[in-house]
Amino acid sequence: MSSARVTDASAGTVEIRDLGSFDGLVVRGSTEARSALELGQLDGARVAVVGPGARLAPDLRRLAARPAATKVFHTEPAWILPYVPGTGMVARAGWSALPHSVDRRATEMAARAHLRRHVRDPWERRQLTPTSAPTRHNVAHSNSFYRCLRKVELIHWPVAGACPEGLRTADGIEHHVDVIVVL
Amino acid sequence: MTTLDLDRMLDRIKDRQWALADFDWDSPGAERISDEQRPSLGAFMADLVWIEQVGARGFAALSRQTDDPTLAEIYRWFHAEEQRHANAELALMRRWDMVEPGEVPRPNNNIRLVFNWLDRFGDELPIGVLGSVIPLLEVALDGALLKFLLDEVHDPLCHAVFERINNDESRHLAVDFHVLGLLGEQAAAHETSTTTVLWRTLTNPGVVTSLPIAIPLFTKMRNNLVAMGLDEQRLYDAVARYGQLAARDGDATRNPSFRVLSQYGDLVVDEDGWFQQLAEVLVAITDGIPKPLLGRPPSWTRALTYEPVA
Repeated sequence: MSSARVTDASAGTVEIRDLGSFDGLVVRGSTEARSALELGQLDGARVAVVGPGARLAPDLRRLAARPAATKVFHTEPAWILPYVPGTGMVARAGWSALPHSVDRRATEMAARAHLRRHVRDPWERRQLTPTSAPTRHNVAHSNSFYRCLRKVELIHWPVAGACPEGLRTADGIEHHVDVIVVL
Repeated sequence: MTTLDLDRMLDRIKDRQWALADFDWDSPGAERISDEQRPSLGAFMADLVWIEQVGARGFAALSRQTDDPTLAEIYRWFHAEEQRHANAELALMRRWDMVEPGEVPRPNNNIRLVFNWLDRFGDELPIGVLGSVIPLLEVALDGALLKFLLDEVHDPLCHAVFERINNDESRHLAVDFHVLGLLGEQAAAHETSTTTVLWRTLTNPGVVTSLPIAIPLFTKMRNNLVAMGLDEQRLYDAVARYGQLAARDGDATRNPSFRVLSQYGDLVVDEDGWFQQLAEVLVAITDGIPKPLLGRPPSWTRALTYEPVA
C-alpha cells in the first residue's frame, strides 16, 4: 500500500537549511525512517517529521506510533484518496483508459470528499488542499493519514532552517526536538 | 519597467529569516514604558497585532490568486512573516505586562468582520484587489505607524525588534509594487477597457461586501491613532507616498483597483469630508453588532503566540 515512488534512501527529500547544525539525530527518506523505527531510535523521543503530503501519507501512521510527541511539518499538500483493497488495479486501468481531464476531476472530487469527511475545520482543509491538479506526484492513498494528523501537531509554516535544538519556522518559532525525519 | 527578479527575491527572503529566540525578551529596558503610556500603547499594540494577522491572511489569499509558482511561494513566506511580526509584537506586549501569561488581546468588531470576510471571499478575489490594498496598508504601517511608535517608545528591544520587522516589510513592499506594476501592464495590454475592468471589480461580491467592513476599520484605526497623538500629516504623507511609489512605475496607475484605492486614501485623510461622516456612521453601526452574531473566529486566529520556543 505504501507509495512505490519513494524507494531509495533520501532521493529528492525536502531540503532544510543548516541541517548540519542540528545536534540530534537526522533520518532521511522512508527507508532510513523504517530502520530508525526498528532500532527504537524514535521510541519516546520528540520527533519532527518534515515532508510533502504525498510522502507523509504512506509512512506517518508507523512513524507517529512510537515517539512521545510528533510534530509534522507539512511542506506541500497532496490529494489523498481512501485506500480500498483490490481497487488498485481498477484505478490504474482507469488512469490509462480515461481521458486525463475526467480522471483528474474524479480524483480531485474523491480526494476532496475524503478530506471533508475527516477534517472539520475549514482553514485546516484549505491548508491540506493542493493548489495544482492531481498528477502522479501529488496523489497518495491512505485511510489513516487524516486520522493520524489529529494525533500529532500539524504545522504548515515554511521551515526556515535547522538550529542546534531543532527546527525554526518562518513564523518566528523554534521547535525543540530530538530527531528530525526528512521525507 | 518592472525588473524585480522573483527567484532572487525568494532566495533573499529565505536568507534573512529570524526568530523570536534571537532576542532576549527579559533584557533591561521594559521599565522605560511609563504607566501613563501603558493603556493607550496597549490598545495600539493590540490593533497592530491583529492588523498583522489580517495582512498574514491577505498574503495567504494572494498565494492562491497568482499563476506564477515563484510568486505564490513568496506569498507563502510573507504569510508566515506577517504571523512572525504578530508573534513578536505580542511578545513585546507580554514584556510590557500588557497581557497576562497565555493571554491574547481580543480583536474588536471591525477586525472580526474582516476575518470573516477574508475567510469567505479572500481566496477568490481578483488579484488586483488585495494586490492593491496590501501595499497601501504596508505603506501606512511602515511610513506612519511604526515611526510614530518608535518615537514614543524608548525600550531598546522594541527598536531592535522593529528593525527586523521593517527589513521584512521592505521586501514585502518591493514585491507589492512589482506586482502593482505587473497588474498595470496587464490592464494596459488587456483588450477590455479600464472601465470594464473597473466595473467587473466593483461588482465582484467580495469587493462589494468589503466596503462596509473595510471603511469603518480604517477609519477607526485612524481615529485611535490621532487620539494617541499621531500627527495626521504623517498619515497623509504615507498615503501620498503610495501614489508616488506606484506612479514611478508608469503602468501601475492603469490598474483600476489602485486608482480607486489612491482616491480612497485621499478621502480617509480628509477629516471633514462627506466620506468621513459616512465612515463614522459605519463605525457606530459595526461597534454595535453583538458578539454572538459574529460567530466563532476562524481557527487561524489562534496561531498567535509570544513563546519563542514550542
